[in-house]
Amino acid sequence: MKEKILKTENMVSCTDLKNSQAQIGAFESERFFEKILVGRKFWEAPIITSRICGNCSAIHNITSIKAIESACSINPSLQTQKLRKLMICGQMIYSHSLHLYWEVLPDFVGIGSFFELQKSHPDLFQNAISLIRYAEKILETFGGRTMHLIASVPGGFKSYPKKQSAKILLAESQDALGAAEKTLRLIAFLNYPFLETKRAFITLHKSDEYAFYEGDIWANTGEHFEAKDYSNFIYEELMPQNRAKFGTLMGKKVMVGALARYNQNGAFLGEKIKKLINNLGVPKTLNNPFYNILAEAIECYFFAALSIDLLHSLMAEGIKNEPVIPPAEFTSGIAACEAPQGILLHHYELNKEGFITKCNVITPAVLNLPALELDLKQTASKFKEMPDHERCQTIDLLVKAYDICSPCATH
Amino acid sequence: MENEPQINKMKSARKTLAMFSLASCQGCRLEMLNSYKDFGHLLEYFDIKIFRSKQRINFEGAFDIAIIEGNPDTAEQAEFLKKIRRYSNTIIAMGACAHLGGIQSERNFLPQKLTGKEKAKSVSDIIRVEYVIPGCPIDPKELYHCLMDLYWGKIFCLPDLSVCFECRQNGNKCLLRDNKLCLGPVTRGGCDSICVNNGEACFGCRGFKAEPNIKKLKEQLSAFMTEEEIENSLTIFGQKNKPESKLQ
Repeated sequence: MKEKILKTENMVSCTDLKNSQAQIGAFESERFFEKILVGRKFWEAPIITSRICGNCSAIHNITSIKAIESACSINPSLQTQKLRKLMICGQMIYSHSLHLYWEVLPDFVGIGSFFELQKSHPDLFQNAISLIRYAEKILETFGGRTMHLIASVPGGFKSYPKKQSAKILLAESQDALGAAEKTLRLIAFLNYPFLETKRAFITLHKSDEYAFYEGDIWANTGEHFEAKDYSNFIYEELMPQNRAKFGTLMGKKVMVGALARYNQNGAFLGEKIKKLINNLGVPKTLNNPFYNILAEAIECYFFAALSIDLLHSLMAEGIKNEPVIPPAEFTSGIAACEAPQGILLHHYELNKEGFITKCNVITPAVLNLPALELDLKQTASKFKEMPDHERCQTIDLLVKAYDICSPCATH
Repeated sequence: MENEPQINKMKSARKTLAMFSLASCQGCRLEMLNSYKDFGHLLEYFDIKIFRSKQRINFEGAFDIAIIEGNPDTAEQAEFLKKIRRYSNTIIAMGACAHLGGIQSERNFLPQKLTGKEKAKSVSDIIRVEYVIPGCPIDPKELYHCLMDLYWGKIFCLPDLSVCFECRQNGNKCLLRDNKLCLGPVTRGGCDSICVNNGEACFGCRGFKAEPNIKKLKEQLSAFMTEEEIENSLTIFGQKNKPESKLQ
């Protein structure tokens, strides 16, 4: 077997076992979002960039709003920030549970697709549905729609939910938390292939909480920088015969995502979750990229618990109908948030009339692709002894474990 | 009671369904699962052959219905589309990307030197498409409606009223009267004016309705917007590619 080419729908990974070579590429067409935005008004940025990816539309919307707000010198109110954090919780649960139940679990259980799960494992199926429903409800209640949020705009929210809908959400939350716990207990005991890599991680970091909405960017190799200095640290390059850009931290291949966040910010997960993880026997640092799946299950539980806290505090204060804050000036703005797949950066420059003159978006998939390629290369020799069928599955699972989202990679 | 065995017999004649995704955000596929209760019912009538993303594609036999999201961007994808056409009986173009060219078709107005690519096309520019489910993202109920109609051999029709019709029924305040941008009058309804309900303007993701009066709308908008801003807002979802949008 000289060469093995795996072609999934929009991704191609190619491993040459003889020479320990591997190549990965996203073969979806590039859509030039960064160029489309030039010449448009500032308020159009969140509407258009949310269409980069359907799976993580909410986080693109919120990061874009944050960047535009810093360009327009808008300081959002505390309530707005809380609502956005709640929506990110919804986004994380949505993306993680879709990834776990749709893409990963069918392979472990040994069925063809998610739909067969309904008949073969009804209890698992029910968990998935209650998690996904809860996440969708959060986005629907505060954003107006599950996909491509409507109400959330620079300066605040265009419409607010009735008090009742927040109550209904709270009633459903315990169900979702239970489902998240069951998911974590299930995912922790799956058989993961053994693979040890020492990868550099970059995530957002805050000194007092599990950072996902704001904070500085920390790398475990020692680089600390603010989001606005990103261009000095994160390099993007175009690769030949590949439609996705490859991003690196000053030439170093880095991993971003749930695994990176767990390794760097795991101390802020909260006592209850730490205890649960301890009981399950999960170590404090995970070096196996396959454990990204496990880290996602942990985060799923964490964000379900966090969303309940945020909902309680919002209910106690009452959701006020605050007007949208108009822009004060037009300069340039950069913002970073944690998307489900890793760190996400948006950069806009505006002219005096509020038209966008420059736009740059760095998605987590762009940063993850080089690391995945390197992992494939390093393990090509390991795969050599496996039987054909098993090797295909392992390579497939590694690509899936990284949770690379092809629409994001080729924005 | 006499009809019951017959219905069961009909139910056993399940149709095969396949989902393909080209250049797009792949959000319509997820939106299909939005109300899983309805989607679960759908599984009683249809065998879903291809759905999961990151799944290896294998063409086994023909499909009764193929749903396509996204627009073909490269020569390979155009070839792929033609292959799907050969293998399937009915094709549904789902979402604004497949229907109009979508948000990425904005690059048709960029200089070609910059992108180095051909103009973005919609699915119906390359192959024959039987049905269209418009919107960005789609309304899953409309898709279920279309699929069930197809199952029972009915002809599915899209509503041909403007968004304003539903917007009035929902009791929203007219944005155009307040001198704010809204493309509701020229856009096809059926979305329950979801954007205006949430305080945002309509940007015309469902394409133009039949015989839209764009000239009059431009006249109205020019009172508070520049020519360039109006052009920009009319091209967000690629409506401009299909000024005379037919129903199917």
